[in-house]
Amino acid sequence: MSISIMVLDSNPNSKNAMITTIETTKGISSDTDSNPMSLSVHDSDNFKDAIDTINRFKIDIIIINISSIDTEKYKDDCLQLRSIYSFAPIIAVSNSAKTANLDHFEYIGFDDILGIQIITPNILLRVIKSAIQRSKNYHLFHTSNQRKLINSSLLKLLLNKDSFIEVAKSSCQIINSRNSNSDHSSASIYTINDDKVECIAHAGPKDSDNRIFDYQKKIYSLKYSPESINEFKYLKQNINNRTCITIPLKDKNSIFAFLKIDTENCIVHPSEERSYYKDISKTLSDVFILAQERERFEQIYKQNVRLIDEMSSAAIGIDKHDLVTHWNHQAEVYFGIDKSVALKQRLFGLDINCDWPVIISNLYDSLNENTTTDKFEVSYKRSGEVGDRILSIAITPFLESNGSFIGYLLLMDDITEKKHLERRHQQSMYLESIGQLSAGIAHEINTPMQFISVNLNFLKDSFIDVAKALTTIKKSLHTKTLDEAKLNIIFEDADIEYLSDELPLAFNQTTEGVERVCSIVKAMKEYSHPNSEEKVSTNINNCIESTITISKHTWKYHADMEVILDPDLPSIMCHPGPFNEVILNIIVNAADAIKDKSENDNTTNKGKITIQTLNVENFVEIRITDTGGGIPLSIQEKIFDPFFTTKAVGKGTGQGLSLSYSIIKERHNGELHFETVTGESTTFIIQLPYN
Amino acid sequence: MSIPEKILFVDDEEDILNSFKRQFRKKANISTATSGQEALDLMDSEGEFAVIVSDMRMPIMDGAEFLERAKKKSPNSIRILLTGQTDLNSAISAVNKGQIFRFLSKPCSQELLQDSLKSAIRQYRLINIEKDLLQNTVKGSIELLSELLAIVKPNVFNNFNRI
Repeated sequence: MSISIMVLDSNPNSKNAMITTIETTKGISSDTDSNPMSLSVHDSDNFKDAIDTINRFKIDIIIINISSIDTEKYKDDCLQLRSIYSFAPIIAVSNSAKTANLDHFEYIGFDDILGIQIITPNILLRVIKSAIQRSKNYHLFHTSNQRKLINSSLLKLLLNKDSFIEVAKSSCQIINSRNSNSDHSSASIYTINDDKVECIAHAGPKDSDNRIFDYQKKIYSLKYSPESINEFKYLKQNINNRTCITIPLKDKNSIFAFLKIDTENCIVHPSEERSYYKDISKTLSDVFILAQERERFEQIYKQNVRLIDEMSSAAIGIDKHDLVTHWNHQAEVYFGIDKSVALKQRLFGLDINCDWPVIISNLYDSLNENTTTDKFEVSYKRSGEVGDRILSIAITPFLESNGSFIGYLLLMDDITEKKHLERRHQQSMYLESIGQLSAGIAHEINTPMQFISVNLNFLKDSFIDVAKALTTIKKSLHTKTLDEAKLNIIFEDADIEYLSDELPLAFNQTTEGVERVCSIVKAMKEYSHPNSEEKVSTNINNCIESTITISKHTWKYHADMEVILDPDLPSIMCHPGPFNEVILNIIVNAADAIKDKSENDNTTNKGKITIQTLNVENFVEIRITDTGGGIPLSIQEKIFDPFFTTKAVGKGTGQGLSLSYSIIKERHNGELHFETVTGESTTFIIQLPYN
Repeated sequence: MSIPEKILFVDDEEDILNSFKRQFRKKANISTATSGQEALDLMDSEGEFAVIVSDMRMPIMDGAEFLERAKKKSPNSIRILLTGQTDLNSAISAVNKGQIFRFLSKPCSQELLQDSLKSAIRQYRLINIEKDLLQNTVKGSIELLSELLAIVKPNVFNNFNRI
């Protein structure tokens, strides 16, 4: 243990005597102690020199002869001595009765006072030892006390819901006020973002930009030194009698800021310094991290509240006691109940006119399965309105991580207008499809009408000829001039031979023509089945046959049609109008695919469309296969998208398959998918459940 | 009505062709074809038809295309379109491509069809008479001129007659 002693005495005799005593003490110490002190001595005869020396060297004990120095006169100097080097014990020696008045000197800051005449080397050694020990104890206590005070003040900052910056500012004030009362002291927090050093908070005078610039390098070296992550490392600089401490603030894996303390005197004993600053660093880091986290959570919370309030759906949060916890603006609009009224009320007790049983049964499903329900539709009435409106609702249950139920969220959208539009749109698409068909169907009807009318004229003319012949025969019989030769002439005139061959053919073809017109008209009537809201028992085979008939003009020039219908197919409940539309869409697409392929291949060979119905377990399957070019892989995912079309502008709206999909999927709970072999064929498969 | 000129009906519907055969059995000299290609072949083998009546919608080659090709093959024939399809596009395409004489829609009454055929035949004859007349006039003038030349300058006559 190495100890430096400063002897301050203006009387050279007593000073030399003291130095001699100290020299002797060295010998005793090395003899008796297991841990001998090595003493070195500095001396001075005035305060000014003494303070210079103390500033230059590390001094552990100051011995001052108050008999030779008038402490009353040099009181300020004594106090300065104390303040510049507050850790070293100051022992006063005196050869007068002043020794008795210890209190007087304590206030100046002396640790002990001895009569000069009683000082022997042994006594001096003991005094030095005990003074050092006392000082140590005192500072240990003082430091831990300081630590506790600072820590508790810093932690208290968390209780105020201040922003992170406010917390940083208050921390600086607390640390600075603990350190010094001087106006020149300061505490600042620096952050490094993108290698730019910035002072985000400070107490006391702020550093000039130039100083920050110089300081930057030191900070970088600390931040980027490899060991600073794992062990606590801080900077201590002495600049113009001032001490500047820089302490890193760390989160889990990096240094995110620095605390810089600038003060005239150190408040902790050097032996305690490290643990003291480490402690502050730890506490301050924690406080900052928590403050930042809290600020982040508060922001997120505010955002969430705003989000919920301003979302276009009505959001209603319910806790486990069935009480309303969230009620956003849209919920107020839908149900005409103010947020302030709804909150903390039982949901089912609120004055809402809607189909509760449906909601409750879905709620139970959702809670049992612990999943968000599919959107379901419920009718409700708005206050002051007569007509029913439709809500689309999804229920999400909330569970804690341990699985216990804490509530649920209802998300509701008023889809009344959307539903109306959808229905109108479907209706208009349907009418449009009939319109597009009508030109083709007209052709299909006009063709048989042409030969029916021509044949009827022929039949009329033929009948006139035959009647004329019969009249002539009757007359000839009457005049008894009929013989075989005459009969032959009459027959030849009337061309009976030709007529007997041709008349049955003309009748057959005419009848067949009439049947064709009838079947088209019947199919037309069946196709344009009123678009009823209710499902009706429907014979799928009939539907398909009618649709094939009315769409004949779309495929007959490019393809042959093979129809394999299962005669035992049961009738199923469905919407025949929309169903026919689906079949029509697929047939038209099949015909187009075949036409495109034959145009691309430059062949005149006809393709083939095969329509098959099958009875599979508990659903009806309809397979429509064409020998077109197949669906390229790149667009397979998109073919059911609305407005997606491969046809030229004006040829297709891109609505057909999208609408078909929604008709099969949503209105019939069925399936619509396809299998395709590029360049060879495509099969669309529709599955309709019995129920 | 009895027409010596040949009339060709083209329709993919055989029943329609049969009904026309019956209708014009005693009145006209008609041929039928069930597709554009068959009709073009018939025009090659049977010679010029005075009138060609075609349907619009037929597989492989539609009426407009057929009439366009028929016009190239036999520009003097009068072309009539008889169709069950009444939309504007097919009419435009038939008029522009096939340069038709009449556009008739199915079902077409017997009277209208017969009147149209009569008009078409008249038109056909008119064109032919015009052609004959033109040819005869030019030929007659040249003959007269050459005879005059022969009288005035017998030595040049030989050269002229060669032309």
